[in-house]
Amino acid sequence: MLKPTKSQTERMADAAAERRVHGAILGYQPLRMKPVHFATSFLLALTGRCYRLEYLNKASVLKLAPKDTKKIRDEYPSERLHPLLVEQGRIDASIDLQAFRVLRAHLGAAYNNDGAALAAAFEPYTTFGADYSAPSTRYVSDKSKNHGHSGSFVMAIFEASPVGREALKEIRELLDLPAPPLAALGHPCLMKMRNSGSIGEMSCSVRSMPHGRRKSQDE
Amino acid sequence: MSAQVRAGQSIVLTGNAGDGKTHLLRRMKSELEAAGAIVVEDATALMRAGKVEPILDKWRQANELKRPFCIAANEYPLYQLRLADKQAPHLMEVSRQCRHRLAYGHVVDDEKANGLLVIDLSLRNPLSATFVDALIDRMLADPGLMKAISGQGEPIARRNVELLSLPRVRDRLRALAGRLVALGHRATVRELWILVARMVFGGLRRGDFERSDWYSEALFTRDDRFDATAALQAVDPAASSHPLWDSALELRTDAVRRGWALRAPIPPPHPTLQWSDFAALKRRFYFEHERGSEVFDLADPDASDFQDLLSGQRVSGRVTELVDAINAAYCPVRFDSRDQHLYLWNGHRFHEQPSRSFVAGDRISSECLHLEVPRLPSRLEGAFDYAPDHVVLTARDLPGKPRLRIDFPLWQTLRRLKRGLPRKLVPERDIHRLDAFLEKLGAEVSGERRTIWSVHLENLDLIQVSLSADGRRFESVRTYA
Repeated sequence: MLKPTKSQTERMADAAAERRVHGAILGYQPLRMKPVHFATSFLLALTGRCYRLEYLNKASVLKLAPKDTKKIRDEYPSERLHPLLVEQGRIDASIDLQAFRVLRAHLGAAYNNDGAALAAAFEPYTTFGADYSAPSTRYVSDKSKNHGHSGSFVMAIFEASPVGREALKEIRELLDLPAPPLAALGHPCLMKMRNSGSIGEMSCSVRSMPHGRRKSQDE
Repeated sequence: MSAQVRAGQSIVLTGNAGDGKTHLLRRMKSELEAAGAIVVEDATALMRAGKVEPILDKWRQANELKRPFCIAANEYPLYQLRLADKQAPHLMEVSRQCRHRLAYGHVVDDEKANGLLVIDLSLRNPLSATFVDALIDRMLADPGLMKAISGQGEPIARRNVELLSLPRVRDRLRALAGRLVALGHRATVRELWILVARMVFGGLRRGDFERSDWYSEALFTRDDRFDATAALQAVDPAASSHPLWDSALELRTDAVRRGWALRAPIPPPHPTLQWSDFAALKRRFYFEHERGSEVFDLADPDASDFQDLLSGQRVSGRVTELVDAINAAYCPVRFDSRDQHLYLWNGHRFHEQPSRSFVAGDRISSECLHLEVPRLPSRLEGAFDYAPDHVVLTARDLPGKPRLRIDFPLWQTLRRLKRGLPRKLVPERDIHRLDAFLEKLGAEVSGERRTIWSVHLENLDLIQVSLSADGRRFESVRTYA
């Protein structure tokens, strides 16, 4: 039985009804924003830091057939990624390809919040967004695209009052608590800086965000 | 209570509406006042426009006169009293005892009272065998009732009293009450009194002893005003299937024509039993036939197993069973040591749908977990019979002693998980409790997390991942078959 199709007028009416409900209940239009998008944006605004997460992305987004271009060799398929990670010292050589495939499936289940929010984010792919089920702030990248800087907006509201600033202080304390085991599982995939042993990071300037950081208002 | 007051202790009676607080203080008032106490039978009646100041004043007055103070207060007025003067020593003691209404494990000094006793009657379950018996005895011995049934005016009550006085019927009533307690139900004294009265007087019709007037029908008639009648549906003999006895009752074989405590119920005129007739007959069969207790033989053993656990029977092996079941809530993959260690599973997703995987970086040996059955604190020894309705699974050697309270609904969920119930069918309430327990345990256990267990809920596989000492390299991946 064919699924009944809606006319354009009906589709427009549905969209208008959805906007009215969102406006009434939420006070804003989420459009395509999901909770994970907001989470990424808020953590970005809160910490002012993000990370490249190239190998976390490659390990947790499964690709079977390579999509090579003239300039770029696709590193996403397991048979290419596996030797690369062995060479980088992220996995032991005793872990064979089959075990590596199983591990990738688990990494995907752990960090891929849902397939519509996390995609292959590095060449040869272009991404519609990369948001992780971040167990710690170390798992926040700058490739999230659907957050509309909502996190910065919420930060600005928090920072505008003493109660809000107190809440932010407590949120930061929560983030400083020991990370859960999910953070340990993905640790080998996190980027290393070329010239140091510490985990690499790339700072994002908070000023580049539309809402920016406001001066705190004294009473 | 009298003895405590004579020893100088104040008494705070609290509990739910209908538990008998005010009734008890009214009955005891003269005796308590003779022992020197100032008595407030009902805290709510003394309050003015919702304010507790009149009670506080009266209590202060009692303290200044060095006289014990006895009060009956529902939970909310008691809570308001505690909030109104947090620094007053007597109210601090009330708060302390309210936070520790039950005790677990060995008796410790903290269980002693300091100048007053909080007696929480909501801990007393009137469905206990001794209370049910005493309540029925009290009603059946009522002089007014005795006089009424001695004449011709109350034929229904007379027949019901005759049947309710039979030892076998009382035995079966006690057992039924025990089943309700095991399932985690309780009733207030008021509800129980009303139920027993209905069992005596039936449908309040004059004339012949119609089926609707039978005590057994009155007991299982649903009345939405009383929670106990809803609870009774769970232990209705008519709803407990037993093919052999069901068939015998329907065909009226010899097995059911004999063996009744008094006489067999009059069969209906229909050639085959309609459901309502069958149900009524089966209920009477449970209460009055010599083999009536067998109707529950094929019932879910979870309730009787829980009852055994509460009474301290067959405790051995229960901890590993529970550990296995809790693990099953997160890891449906069966593996060898699933009952030997409680894995501290952790899932995380910014989504309204559940996690696709769970990961554990720590685990606790089952030997470090213990089952404890609650009891009244030593300060309340002898106050009333307390029948436990839950056990706790506790890691008593860890700081904070994290514990999981297991009542019958959670017990049943855990038993079903062990039998293969999928996580998505587990009530959310139980999932939250398990999550909270694992989180509390995780807060007390600090491991290095060099071994991670990960279960993929879509692929249904479990892996054990070993990390290097600095956590930056996957050293091995072991898949559990």
